[in-house]
Amino acid sequence: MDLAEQKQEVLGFLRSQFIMSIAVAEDNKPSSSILLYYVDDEFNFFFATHRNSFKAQKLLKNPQISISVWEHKNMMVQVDGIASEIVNEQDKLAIIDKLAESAMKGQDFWPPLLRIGGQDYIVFKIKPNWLRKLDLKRDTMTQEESPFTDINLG
Amino acid sequence: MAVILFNDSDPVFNRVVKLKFQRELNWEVKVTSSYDEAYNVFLNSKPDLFMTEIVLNDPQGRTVFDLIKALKDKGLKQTIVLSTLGQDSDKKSAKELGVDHYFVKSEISLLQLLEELKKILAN
Repeated sequence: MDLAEQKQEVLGFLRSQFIMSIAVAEDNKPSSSILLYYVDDEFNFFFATHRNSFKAQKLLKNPQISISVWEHKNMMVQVDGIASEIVNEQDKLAIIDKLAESAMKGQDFWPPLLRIGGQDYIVFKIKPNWLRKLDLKRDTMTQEESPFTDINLG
Repeated sequence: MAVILFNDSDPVFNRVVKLKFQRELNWEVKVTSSYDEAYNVFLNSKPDLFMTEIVLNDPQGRTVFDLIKALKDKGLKQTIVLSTLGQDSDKKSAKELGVDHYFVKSEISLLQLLEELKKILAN
C-alpha cells in the first residue's frame, strides 16, 4: 500500500469513528479525557469543550496534545500535535456544525458536553505533527513485521 | 413533512437537536437563537410547531413569553417549552401563557423527547 492509500485508509477509519481519547499536560502532570471529534482531509482534529474545563485551561497553557482513536479488531491511530483555539466566530460555528454531524454517527448518542451546562464553548484545532496506525485486524498471536505504520504527513 | 422551529441560544445544543430531529424523524427543523431571529423565521416558514428554551438573552429585555404572544398573533398553533428551568412556577407561567407542553432538559432523554413530539404532531 503506498502512502496515499495508507492516508486514505486511516482517514476513512477516523471518519468512521467519532470519539477520541486525548492526553494533555501541565507542570509535568498528565490528564486524559474522551471527546467527540471531527477530522478534516489534512488530519487536523477539532473538538469543542467548555472554556473552564480542565483540558481547555491546560491546553491554553501548554498546547501539546496526544490523541488515540481505537476500534476493536480494526485499527488504532495515535497522533501527537499542537492545539490552537479557533477564535473566528464563523469558523467556530462551522466546526460546531461538523461536530454535530459527528454526533450523528452514534445512534442515541447525546454529547455529554451538553449535560454539563453552560454555553461558553471553546473550539480547538489540533494540527498533527506525528501520526501512526496500529493494524488490529490480524488475529495471530504474534507477527513478524511491526503492526505499527508511521504515516508521513508531509 | 413537518416543520419545526426550535429556538435555543446554545449553539451546540440547537445544532445537535436539529440534526437528530432531521435524521431520526425526517422533519424539517429550523433553528434560531434569539427573539428577532425566531420571529422572522416563523413568518417565513410557518412551522407546525414552535419549540423553545425559556431562557432568552434578549438585549431589549423581551421574554420568551413576549415572543410566544407575538407569534400567536401571527398564527402560531402549538408551543413546546424545552428548558433548563424546571420549577413549578416556570411551568405555571408557561401554561398560563398558552404553552401546550413543557419539558425539562434534565428530566428527558432525546429519544423520549422524540417520542413525545411524534405523539403531539400525530394529534
